[in-house]
Amino acid sequence: MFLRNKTVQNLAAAALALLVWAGAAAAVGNSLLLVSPWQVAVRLCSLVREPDFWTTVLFSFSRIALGFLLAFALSAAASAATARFPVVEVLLRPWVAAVKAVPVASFIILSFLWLTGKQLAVFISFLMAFPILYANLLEGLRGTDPALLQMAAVYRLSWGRRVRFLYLPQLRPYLISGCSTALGLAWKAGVAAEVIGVVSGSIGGKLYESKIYFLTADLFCWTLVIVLASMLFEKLVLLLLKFGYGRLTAR
Amino acid sequence: MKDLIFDLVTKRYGEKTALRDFCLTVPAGTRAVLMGRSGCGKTTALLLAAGLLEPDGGRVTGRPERLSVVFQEDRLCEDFTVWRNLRLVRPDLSREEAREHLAALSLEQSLDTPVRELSGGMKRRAALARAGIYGGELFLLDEPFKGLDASTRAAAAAYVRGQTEGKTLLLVTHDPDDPAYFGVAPVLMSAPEA
Repeated sequence: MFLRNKTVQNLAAAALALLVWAGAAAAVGNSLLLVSPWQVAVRLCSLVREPDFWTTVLFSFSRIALGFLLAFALSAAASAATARFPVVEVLLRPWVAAVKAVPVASFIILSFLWLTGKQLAVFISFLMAFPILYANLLEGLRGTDPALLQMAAVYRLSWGRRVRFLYLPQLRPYLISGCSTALGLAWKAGVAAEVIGVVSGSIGGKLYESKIYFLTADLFCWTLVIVLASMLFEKLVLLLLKFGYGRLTAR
Repeated sequence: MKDLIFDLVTKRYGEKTALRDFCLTVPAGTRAVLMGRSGCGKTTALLLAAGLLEPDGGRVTGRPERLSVVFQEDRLCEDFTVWRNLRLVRPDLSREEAREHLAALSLEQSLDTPVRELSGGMKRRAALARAGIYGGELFLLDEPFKGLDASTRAAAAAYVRGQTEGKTLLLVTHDPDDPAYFGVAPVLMSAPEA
C-alpha cells in the first residue's frame, strides 16, 4: 500500500541503489577504485566551499546553455523555413545526417582545431541539440491539422495568429520532448568537449584533472554536479516554455 | 459585390472526375442551394468557390475577399473555448456580440465551454456562429444544419437568413427541406458520367 505512492517508490529505489553502492565500495575497500557515497558527500561539501567551484559551474553552464539556446533558435527558424519551403529540408539533410552519424568525439577533435577552448562547448552543445530540436519541431509543424490551416486561410488569419493559435499549441508536446532529450545530450556532449579539449576552468577540465591525479571522489562529485546542473537547466527551460506558452497563446 | 460564376468548371481527383463543365451563376446578394446525392461534386463546387481548390478546366469568378465558410467538418480548435474560437476570426469581437450570435443559436450558455466538451450539434452551431460573426460578403455553407434536431434546425436556418441578408449565399445540402428555409428552388446536381 505504502509502496504504491510513486514518490515513495522512487525514494526507496534511490535508497536501495545507495546501499548497493555503499556495499560495493566497502567490498572493494579501495577508495581509489570506488569511493563510498559518504566520501562523495563529504568531498562535495568541501568542494562547494572552494573559491573556484561556482565560477567553474558557471563557466560550463553558461556555454552549454548558450549552445542549447542557439540550437533552439536556429532549429525554430530552420523548421519554420522548411515548413514554408520544403527544399530547405533537402538542403539541410546531409548536414543533419552527418551530425547524427559522426561520433561526437570526431567533431570535438575537429572543432578544437578551429575554435578556442571557451567556444568548444558552445559549438558542440549546439551541434548535438540542433538535429533533435529540428526533427521534433518539424514533426510538430507537419502534424498541424491541414483542415484548420485551410480554415485559417479562408478567415484570413494573420501569420502571427496562425503561429500563436494553431502552430504553437500543436508544437507544445514536440517541443517539450525535444528540449528534454536535446538538453541531456547537450550537457553530456558539452562536458565531453571540455574533457577532450582540456578546457581549464570548466567542469570538463575538473573531470580531466580528477583522472590525471586519480581523484575518484572528485570525479564522482563533478559528475553529480553535471547531473544536477543538467536537471536544473531542464526544469528552468521547461518552466520558461510553460510561461511563454501561457503568455503567447492566452486570449 | 459581384455575381459568383462557375463557368464550365471541371475538377478531377486523379482518375475520378468530380465536376465536369459545371455552370452556375449566383447573382450578387442572392441565395442558392445545391442539392444532390453524395459524390455529385457539391462540396467540390463549394471548395472551388472558396478558392481552396483550383479547377482543372473553366473558371470560378466573383469571389470576394471576405468569405464566411462552414466546412463539411466543423474545423474548430477543439482545445479552445467557443469564445476563443470566435475571437480567432474576429480579434475585435466583444463578448456581448458573441453572446448575441450564440443566443440566436441557443448556444449562449456554452460561450466559455471548451469545444471538445460540446455535442456534434453544438459544434455545428458554433461553426455557424463563427461564419456569422466573421460577416463575409459571400457565405459558403456545406451541410450547415447537419446533426441538428427540427427546432434547432429552424432556428439555425433563421440565423443564416438573418446573417446573409443582402449577401450572397451558396449552401450545399442533402436535406430536401433546406431550400424552403431560404425560399429558393434547389439547384439539382448529378454525378458526372464516367
